[in-house]
Amino acid sequence: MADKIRRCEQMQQMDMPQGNAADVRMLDMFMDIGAMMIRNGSEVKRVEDTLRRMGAAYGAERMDVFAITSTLVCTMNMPDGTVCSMTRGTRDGAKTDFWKLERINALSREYCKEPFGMDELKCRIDEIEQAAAPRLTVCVGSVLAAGTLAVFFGGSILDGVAAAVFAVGIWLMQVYFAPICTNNILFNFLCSFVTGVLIGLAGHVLPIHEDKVMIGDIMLLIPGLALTNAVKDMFVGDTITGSLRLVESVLWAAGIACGFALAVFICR
Amino acid sequence: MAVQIVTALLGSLGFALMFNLGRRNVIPAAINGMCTWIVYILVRNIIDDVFIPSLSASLWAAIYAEIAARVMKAPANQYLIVGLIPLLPGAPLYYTLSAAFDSDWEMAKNFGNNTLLFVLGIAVGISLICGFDDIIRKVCKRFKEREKC
Repeated sequence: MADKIRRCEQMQQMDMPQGNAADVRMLDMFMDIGAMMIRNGSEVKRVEDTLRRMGAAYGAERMDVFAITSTLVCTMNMPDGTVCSMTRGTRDGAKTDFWKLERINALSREYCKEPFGMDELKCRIDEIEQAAAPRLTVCVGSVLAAGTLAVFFGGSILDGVAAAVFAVGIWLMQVYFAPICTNNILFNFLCSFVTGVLIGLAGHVLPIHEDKVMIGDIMLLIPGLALTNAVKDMFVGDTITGSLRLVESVLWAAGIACGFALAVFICR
Repeated sequence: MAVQIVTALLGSLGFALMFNLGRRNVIPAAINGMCTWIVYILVRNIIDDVFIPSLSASLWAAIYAEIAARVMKAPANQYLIVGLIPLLPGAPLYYTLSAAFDSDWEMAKNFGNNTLLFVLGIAVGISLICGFDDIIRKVCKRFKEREKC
Protein backbone atom coordinates (compact mmCIF):
# COMPACT_ATOMS: atom_id res chain seq x y z
CA MET A 1 0.00 0.00 0.00
CA ALA A 2 2.71 2.42 1.02
CA ASP A 3 4.61 1.48 -2.09
CA LYS A 4 1.63 2.29 -4.24
CA ILE A 5 1.21 5.72 -2.67
CA ARG A 6 4.87 6.47 -3.12
CA ARG A 7 4.75 5.50 -6.76
CA CYS A 8 1.70 7.68 -7.21
CA GLU A 9 3.57 10.64 -5.74
CA GLN A 10 6.52 10.01 -7.98
CA MET A 11 4.27 9.93 -11.02
CA GLN A 12 2.73 13.22 -10.00
CA GLN A 13 6.11 14.81 -9.59
CA MET A 14 7.10 13.70 -13.05
CA ASP A 15 3.95 15.17 -14.50
CA MET A 16 4.46 18.52 -12.82
CA PRO A 17 8.13 19.26 -12.28
CA GLN A 18 8.16 21.11 -8.98
CA GLY A 19 11.15 22.51 -7.23
CA ASN A 20 12.84 20.47 -4.53
CA ALA A 21 12.39 21.41 -0.91
CA ALA A 22 15.54 23.54 -0.74
CA ASP A 23 14.51 25.66 -3.69
CA VAL A 24 11.05 26.20 -2.28
CA ARG A 25 12.50 27.31 1.03
CA MET A 26 14.82 29.69 -0.76
CA LEU A 27 11.97 31.16 -2.78
CA ASP A 28 10.02 31.61 0.44
CA MET A 29 12.86 33.73 1.79
CA PHE A 30 13.03 35.75 -1.41
CA MET A 31 9.31 36.41 -1.01
CA ASP A 32 9.93 37.60 2.54
CA ILE A 33 12.47 40.06 1.22
CA GLY A 34 10.22 41.29 -1.57
CA ALA A 35 7.21 41.70 0.70
CA MET A 36 9.27 43.60 3.26
CA MET A 37 10.53 45.96 0.55
CA ILE A 38 7.03 46.74 -0.71
CA ARG A 39 5.69 47.31 2.79
CA ASN A 40 8.48 49.70 3.67
CA GLY A 41 8.04 52.04 0.73
CA SER A 42 10.04 50.70 -2.19
CA GLU A 43 9.08 51.04 -5.85
CA VAL A 44 8.04 47.75 -7.42
CA LYS A 45 10.68 48.04 -10.13
CA ARG A 46 13.29 47.86 -7.42
CA VAL A 47 11.64 44.81 -5.83
CA GLU A 48 11.58 42.98 -9.14
CA ASP A 49 15.19 43.91 -9.82
CA THR A 50 16.41 42.78 -6.38
CA LEU A 51 14.61 39.43 -6.55
CA ARG A 52 15.87 38.77 -10.07
CA ARG A 53 19.46 39.44 -9.07
CA MET A 54 19.24 37.36 -5.91
CA GLY A 55 17.66 34.51 -7.83
CA ALA A 56 20.45 34.60 -10.38
CA ALA A 57 23.01 34.58 -7.57
CA TYR A 58 21.30 31.54 -6.03
CA GLY A 59 21.58 29.74 -9.35
CA ALA A 60 18.15 30.04 -10.91
CA GLU A 61 17.99 29.95 -14.67
CA ARG A 62 15.36 32.63 -14.75
CA MET A 63 13.22 34.55 -12.30
CA ASP A 64 9.88 36.02 -13.28
CA VAL A 65 8.59 38.53 -10.78
CA PHE A 66 5.27 40.32 -10.79
CA ALA A 67 4.60 42.82 -8.03
CA ILE A 68 1.75 45.19 -7.34
CA THR A 69 1.08 46.97 -4.07
CA SER A 70 -0.94 44.14 -2.54
CA THR A 71 0.47 41.01 -4.18
CA LEU A 72 3.84 39.57 -5.03
CA VAL A 73 4.11 36.67 -7.49
CA CYS A 74 7.38 34.98 -8.34
CA THR A 75 8.34 31.98 -10.43
CA MET A 76 11.80 30.48 -10.29
CA ASN A 77 13.11 28.16 -13.04
CA MET A 78 16.02 26.00 -11.96
CA PRO A 79 18.64 24.65 -14.40
CA ASP A 80 17.50 21.05 -13.75
CA GLY A 81 14.10 21.83 -15.24
CA THR A 82 12.12 22.15 -12.02
CA VAL A 83 9.92 25.16 -11.49
CA CYS A 84 8.62 26.64 -8.28
CA SER A 85 6.18 29.45 -7.94
CA MET A 86 4.78 31.39 -5.01
CA THR A 87 2.33 34.17 -4.26
CA ARG A 88 2.42 36.44 -1.26
CA GLY A 89 -0.06 39.05 -0.06
CA THR A 90 1.68 42.19 1.12
CA ARG A 91 -1.13 44.23 2.57
CA ASP A 92 -0.09 44.57 6.19
CA GLY A 93 -0.15 48.33 6.42
CA ALA A 94 3.17 48.63 8.21
CA LYS A 95 4.73 52.04 8.70
CA THR A 96 7.40 53.09 6.23
CA ASP A 97 10.84 52.33 7.56
CA PHE A 98 13.70 53.33 5.28
CA TRP A 99 16.33 51.89 7.58
CA LYS A 100 14.93 48.42 6.96
CA LEU A 101 14.94 49.10 3.25
CA GLU A 102 18.55 50.14 3.30
CA ARG A 103 19.60 47.07 5.23
CA ILE A 104 17.72 44.79 2.82
CA ASN A 105 19.50 46.55 0.00
CA ALA A 106 22.87 45.95 1.64
CA LEU A 107 21.94 42.31 2.32
CA SER A 108 21.00 41.68 -1.31
CA ARG A 109 24.18 43.32 -2.58
CA GLU A 110 26.24 41.16 -0.29
CA TYR A 111 24.33 38.05 -1.32
CA CYS A 112 24.74 38.76 -5.01
CA LYS A 113 28.47 39.25 -4.60
CA GLU A 114 28.96 36.06 -2.65
CA PRO A 115 25.92 33.85 -1.95
CA PHE A 116 25.86 32.50 1.57
CA GLY A 117 23.99 29.60 3.15
CA MET A 118 20.27 29.33 3.62
CA ASP A 119 20.34 29.42 7.41
CA GLU A 120 22.48 32.51 7.52
CA LEU A 121 20.19 34.27 5.05
CA LYS A 122 17.13 33.32 7.11
CA CYS A 123 18.86 34.60 10.22
CA ARG A 124 19.74 37.93 8.60
CA ILE A 125 16.21 38.43 7.23
CA ASP A 126 14.65 37.76 10.64
CA GLU A 127 17.05 40.18 12.23
CA ILE A 128 16.02 42.95 9.84
CA GLU A 129 12.31 42.17 10.09
CA GLN A 130 12.21 42.22 13.86
CA ALA A 131 14.10 45.49 14.28
CA ALA A 132 11.23 47.92 14.80
CA ALA A 133 11.67 51.65 14.41
CA PRO A 134 12.35 53.27 17.79
CA ARG A 135 9.02 54.74 18.83
CA LEU A 136 10.52 57.77 20.46
CA THR A 137 12.35 58.79 17.29
CA VAL A 138 9.12 58.60 15.30
CA CYS A 139 7.35 60.69 17.95
CA VAL A 140 10.10 63.32 18.00
CA GLY A 141 10.05 63.37 14.19
CA SER A 142 6.27 63.96 14.05
CA VAL A 143 6.45 66.70 16.66
CA LEU A 144 9.33 68.43 14.90
CA ALA A 145 7.77 68.12 11.45
CA ALA A 146 4.30 69.36 12.44
CA GLY A 147 5.63 72.21 14.58
CA THR A 148 8.07 73.59 12.06
CA LEU A 149 5.80 73.12 9.04
CA ALA A 150 3.03 75.09 10.76
CA VAL A 151 5.53 77.96 11.02
CA PHE A 152 6.74 77.25 7.48
CA PHE A 153 3.28 77.89 6.06
CA GLY A 154 3.08 81.24 7.80
CA GLY A 155 2.02 80.52 11.38
CA SER A 156 3.38 82.18 14.51
CA ILE A 157 5.63 80.46 17.07
CA LEU A 158 2.58 79.69 19.21
CA ASP A 159 0.93 77.98 16.23
CA GLY A 160 4.03 75.86 15.85
CA VAL A 161 3.90 74.82 19.49
CA ALA A 162 0.21 73.97 19.24
CA ALA A 163 0.76 71.91 16.08
CA ALA A 164 3.60 70.08 17.83
CA VAL A 165 1.32 69.22 20.76
CA PHE A 166 -1.42 67.89 18.48
CA ALA A 167 1.20 65.92 16.54
CA VAL A 168 1.69 63.84 19.69
CA GLY A 169 -2.02 63.02 19.50
CA ILE A 170 -1.68 61.92 15.88
CA TRP A 171 1.33 59.81 16.78
CA LEU A 172 -0.59 58.14 19.62
CA MET A 173 -3.44 57.34 17.25
CA GLN A 174 -1.00 55.93 14.68
CA VAL A 175 0.58 53.69 17.29
CA TYR A 176 -2.48 52.50 19.24
CA PHE A 177 -5.50 53.03 17.00
CA ALA A 178 -4.09 52.15 13.56
CA PRO A 179 -3.59 48.43 14.41
CA ILE A 180 -7.29 48.19 15.33
CA CYS A 181 -8.53 50.25 12.39
CA THR A 182 -6.96 48.52 9.41
CA ASN A 183 -8.97 50.47 6.85
CA ASN A 184 -6.62 53.24 5.84
CA ILE A 185 -9.20 55.66 4.46
CA LEU A 186 -11.35 55.36 7.56
CA PHE A 187 -8.33 55.73 9.80
CA ASN A 188 -7.21 58.89 8.03
CA PHE A 189 -10.73 60.29 8.19
CA LEU A 190 -11.16 59.59 11.93
CA CYS A 191 -7.64 60.71 12.77
CA SER A 192 -8.02 64.04 11.00
CA PHE A 193 -11.54 64.52 12.34
CA VAL A 194 -10.48 64.05 15.97
CA THR A 195 -7.41 66.24 15.52
CA GLY A 196 -9.47 68.88 13.74
CA VAL A 197 -12.09 69.00 16.52
CA LEU A 198 -9.39 69.29 19.19
CA ILE A 199 -7.67 72.10 17.31
CA GLY A 200 -11.01 73.83 16.79
CA LEU A 201 -11.79 73.66 20.52
CA ALA A 202 -8.30 74.90 21.39
CA GLY A 203 -8.84 77.78 18.96
CA HIS A 204 -11.74 79.03 21.08
CA VAL A 205 -9.49 79.24 24.15
CA LEU A 206 -6.01 80.06 22.87
CA PRO A 207 -4.98 82.87 20.50
CA ILE A 208 -3.85 80.53 17.71
CA HIS A 209 -4.51 80.56 13.97
CA GLU A 210 -6.49 77.36 13.59
CA ASP A 211 -5.80 77.09 9.87
CA LYS A 212 -2.01 77.13 10.27
CA VAL A 213 -2.08 74.57 13.08
CA MET A 214 -4.28 72.29 11.01
CA ILE A 215 -2.02 72.63 7.97
CA GLY A 216 0.98 71.61 10.08
CA ASP A 217 -0.82 68.50 11.24
CA ILE A 218 -2.27 67.72 7.79
CA MET A 219 1.29 67.49 6.48
CA LEU A 220 1.90 64.48 8.75
CA LEU A 221 -1.01 62.58 7.20
CA ILE A 222 -0.65 63.58 3.53
CA PRO A 223 0.39 60.49 1.52
CA GLY A 224 3.48 62.09 0.02
CA LEU A 225 5.38 58.81 -0.13
CA ALA A 226 2.58 56.96 -1.92
CA LEU A 227 2.17 59.80 -4.38
CA THR A 228 5.88 59.98 -5.18
CA ASN A 229 6.10 56.23 -5.64
CA ALA A 230 2.96 56.26 -7.79
CA VAL A 231 4.52 58.76 -10.17
CA LYS A 232 7.79 56.88 -10.33
CA ASP A 233 6.09 53.51 -10.85
CA MET A 234 3.92 54.83 -13.61
CA PHE A 235 6.79 56.47 -15.42
CA VAL A 236 9.03 53.41 -15.47
CA GLY A 237 6.24 51.32 -16.98
CA ASP A 238 4.55 49.73 -13.95
CA THR A 239 1.33 51.44 -14.92
CA ILE A 240 -0.94 49.11 -12.97
CA THR A 241 0.94 49.57 -9.71
CA GLY A 242 1.26 53.29 -10.28
CA SER A 243 -2.43 53.80 -10.90
CA LEU A 244 -3.37 51.61 -7.92
CA ARG A 245 -1.15 53.69 -5.68
CA LEU A 246 -2.38 56.95 -7.18
CA VAL A 247 -6.04 56.07 -6.63
CA GLU A 248 -5.18 54.90 -3.11
CA SER A 249 -3.40 58.12 -2.21
CA VAL A 250 -6.15 60.29 -3.68
CA LEU A 251 -8.68 58.38 -1.56
CA TRP A 252 -6.53 58.88 1.55
CA ALA A 253 -6.25 62.57 0.80
CA ALA A 254 -10.02 62.74 0.36
CA GLY A 255 -10.44 61.05 3.75
CA ILE A 256 -8.14 63.58 5.40
CA ALA A 257 -9.86 66.48 3.69
CA CYS A 258 -13.34 65.31 4.72
CA GLY A 259 -12.21 64.78 8.32
CA PHE A 260 -10.75 68.25 8.73
CA ALA A 261 -13.58 69.93 6.81
CA LEU A 262 -16.19 68.28 9.02
CA ALA A 263 -14.26 69.29 12.15
CA VAL A 264 -14.08 72.93 11.00
CA PHE A 265 -17.79 72.85 10.23
CA ILE A 266 -18.67 71.52 13.69
CA CYS A 267 -16.38 73.83 15.66
CA ARG A 268 -17.52 77.00 13.96
CA MET B 1 12.21 84.01 4.05
CA ALA B 2 15.04 82.99 6.40
CA VAL B 3 12.37 81.57 8.70
CA GLN B 4 10.99 79.50 5.84
CA ILE B 5 14.40 78.10 4.95
CA VAL B 6 15.15 77.12 8.55
CA THR B 7 11.71 75.58 9.06
CA ALA B 8 12.02 73.71 5.75
CA LEU B 9 15.25 72.18 7.05
CA LEU B 10 13.71 71.25 10.41
CA GLY B 11 10.49 69.97 8.84
CA SER B 12 12.43 67.69 6.50
CA LEU B 13 14.51 66.56 9.45
CA GLY B 14 11.31 65.67 11.29
CA PHE B 15 10.11 63.57 8.37
CA ALA B 16 13.52 61.94 8.09
CA LEU B 17 13.15 60.83 11.71
CA MET B 18 9.55 59.75 11.13
CA PHE B 19 10.50 57.48 8.22
CA ASN B 20 13.37 56.13 10.31
CA LEU B 21 16.18 56.85 7.87
CA GLY B 22 19.50 55.40 8.91
CA ARG B 23 21.48 57.65 11.20
CA ARG B 24 23.98 58.61 8.52
CA ASN B 25 21.23 59.47 6.01
CA VAL B 26 19.21 61.85 8.17
CA ILE B 27 21.36 64.94 7.63
CA PRO B 28 21.87 64.64 3.84
CA ALA B 29 18.13 64.08 3.38
CA ALA B 30 17.18 67.07 5.53
CA ILE B 31 19.63 69.29 3.65
CA ASN B 32 17.94 68.20 0.43
CA GLY B 33 14.65 69.53 1.82
CA MET B 34 16.21 72.91 2.61
CA CYS B 35 17.93 73.19 -0.79
CA THR B 36 14.72 72.27 -2.59
CA TRP B 37 12.94 75.15 -0.94
CA ILE B 38 15.82 77.56 -1.70
CA VAL B 39 15.62 76.56 -5.38
CA TYR B 40 11.88 77.12 -5.30
CA ILE B 41 12.26 80.62 -3.83
CA LEU B 42 15.05 81.58 -6.26
CA VAL B 43 13.11 80.48 -9.32
CA ARG B 44 9.91 82.08 -8.07
CA ASN B 45 11.74 85.41 -7.83
CA ILE B 46 12.47 85.20 -11.55
CA ILE B 47 9.23 83.63 -12.79
CA ASP B 48 6.18 84.50 -10.74
CA ASP B 49 4.28 81.26 -11.22
CA VAL B 50 3.64 77.99 -9.41
CA PHE B 51 4.37 75.32 -11.99
CA ILE B 52 7.86 76.32 -13.20
CA PRO B 53 9.32 76.88 -9.67
CA SER B 54 7.90 73.63 -8.31
CA LEU B 55 9.14 71.80 -11.41
CA SER B 56 12.68 73.14 -11.02
CA ALA B 57 12.66 72.45 -7.30
CA SER B 58 11.59 68.84 -7.80
CA LEU B 59 14.19 68.46 -10.58
CA TRP B 60 16.78 69.61 -8.08
CA ALA B 61 15.50 67.25 -5.38
CA ALA B 62 15.63 64.26 -7.74
CA ILE B 63 19.14 65.07 -9.00
CA TYR B 64 20.39 65.56 -5.45
CA ALA B 65 18.78 62.26 -4.43
CA GLU B 66 20.46 60.33 -7.25
CA ILE B 67 23.86 61.85 -6.46
CA ALA B 68 23.46 61.26 -2.72
CA ALA B 69 22.45 57.66 -3.43
CA ARG B 70 25.63 57.08 -5.46
CA VAL B 71 27.83 58.71 -2.83
CA MET B 72 26.24 57.03 0.20
CA LYS B 73 25.49 53.71 -1.59
CA ALA B 74 21.88 53.70 -0.34
CA PRO B 75 18.48 53.74 -2.11
CA ALA B 76 17.72 57.10 -3.71
CA ASN B 77 14.06 57.08 -2.75
CA GLN B 78 14.63 58.13 0.86
CA TYR B 79 16.49 61.31 -0.05
CA LEU B 80 13.92 62.16 -2.69
CA ILE B 81 10.86 61.75 -0.50
CA VAL B 82 12.26 63.74 2.41
CA GLY B 83 13.54 66.39 0.00
CA LEU B 84 10.11 66.89 -1.53
CA ILE B 85 8.37 67.55 1.81
CA PRO B 86 8.46 71.38 1.61
CA LEU B 87 6.90 71.21 -1.87
CA LEU B 88 3.87 69.15 -0.80
CA PRO B 89 0.88 71.48 -1.16
CA GLY B 90 -0.55 71.17 2.35
CA ALA B 91 -1.63 74.80 2.60
CA PRO B 92 -3.25 75.12 -0.87
CA LEU B 93 -5.12 71.85 -0.25
CA TYR B 94 -6.46 73.12 3.06
CA TYR B 95 -7.52 76.50 1.68
CA THR B 96 -9.17 74.88 -1.35
CA LEU B 97 -11.39 72.86 0.96
CA SER B 98 -12.13 75.63 3.37
CA ALA B 99 -13.11 77.92 0.49
CA ALA B 100 -15.28 75.18 -0.98
CA PHE B 101 -16.98 74.79 2.40
CA ASP B 102 -17.75 78.51 2.44
CA SER B 103 -19.15 78.15 -1.11
CA ASP B 104 -16.54 80.66 -2.26
CA TRP B 105 -16.02 78.93 -5.61
CA GLU B 106 -13.75 81.60 -7.07
CA MET B 107 -11.22 81.12 -4.24
CA ALA B 108 -11.65 77.35 -4.28
CA LYS B 109 -10.87 77.33 -7.99
CA ASN B 110 -7.72 79.42 -7.50
CA PHE B 111 -6.36 77.33 -4.64
CA GLY B 112 -7.37 74.07 -6.30
CA ASN B 113 -5.49 75.18 -9.40
CA ASN B 114 -2.44 75.89 -7.25
CA THR B 115 -2.61 72.48 -5.60
CA LEU B 116 -2.81 70.70 -8.94
CA LEU B 117 0.05 72.74 -10.41
CA PHE B 118 2.26 71.91 -7.42
CA VAL B 119 1.55 68.20 -7.74
CA LEU B 120 2.02 68.30 -11.51
CA GLY B 121 5.34 70.11 -11.15
CA ILE B 122 6.59 67.51 -8.69
CA ALA B 123 5.42 64.62 -10.87
CA VAL B 124 7.00 65.95 -14.07
CA GLY B 125 10.27 66.71 -12.28
CA ILE B 126 10.59 63.23 -10.78
CA SER B 127 9.65 61.52 -14.04
CA LEU B 128 12.18 63.47 -16.09
CA ILE B 129 15.08 62.63 -13.79
CA CYS B 130 13.90 59.04 -13.49
CA GLY B 131 13.99 58.69 -17.28
CA PHE B 132 17.31 60.44 -17.81
CA ASP B 133 18.90 58.45 -14.99
CA ASP B 134 17.96 55.25 -16.80
CA ILE B 135 19.46 56.50 -20.08
CA ILE B 136 22.68 57.67 -18.43
CA ARG B 137 23.08 54.37 -16.63
CA LYS B 138 22.63 52.39 -19.85
CA VAL B 139 25.06 54.60 -21.79
CA CYS B 140 27.70 54.19 -19.06
CA LYS B 141 27.21 50.42 -19.11
CA ARG B 142 27.68 50.30 -22.88
CA PHE B 143 30.88 52.36 -22.67
CA LYS B 144 32.28 50.04 -20.04
CA GLU B 145 31.51 47.00 -22.16
CA ARG B 146 33.23 48.57 -25.14
CA GLU B 147 36.36 49.24 -23.08
CA LYS B 148 36.51 45.61 -22.07
CA CYS B 149 36.37 44.40 -25.68
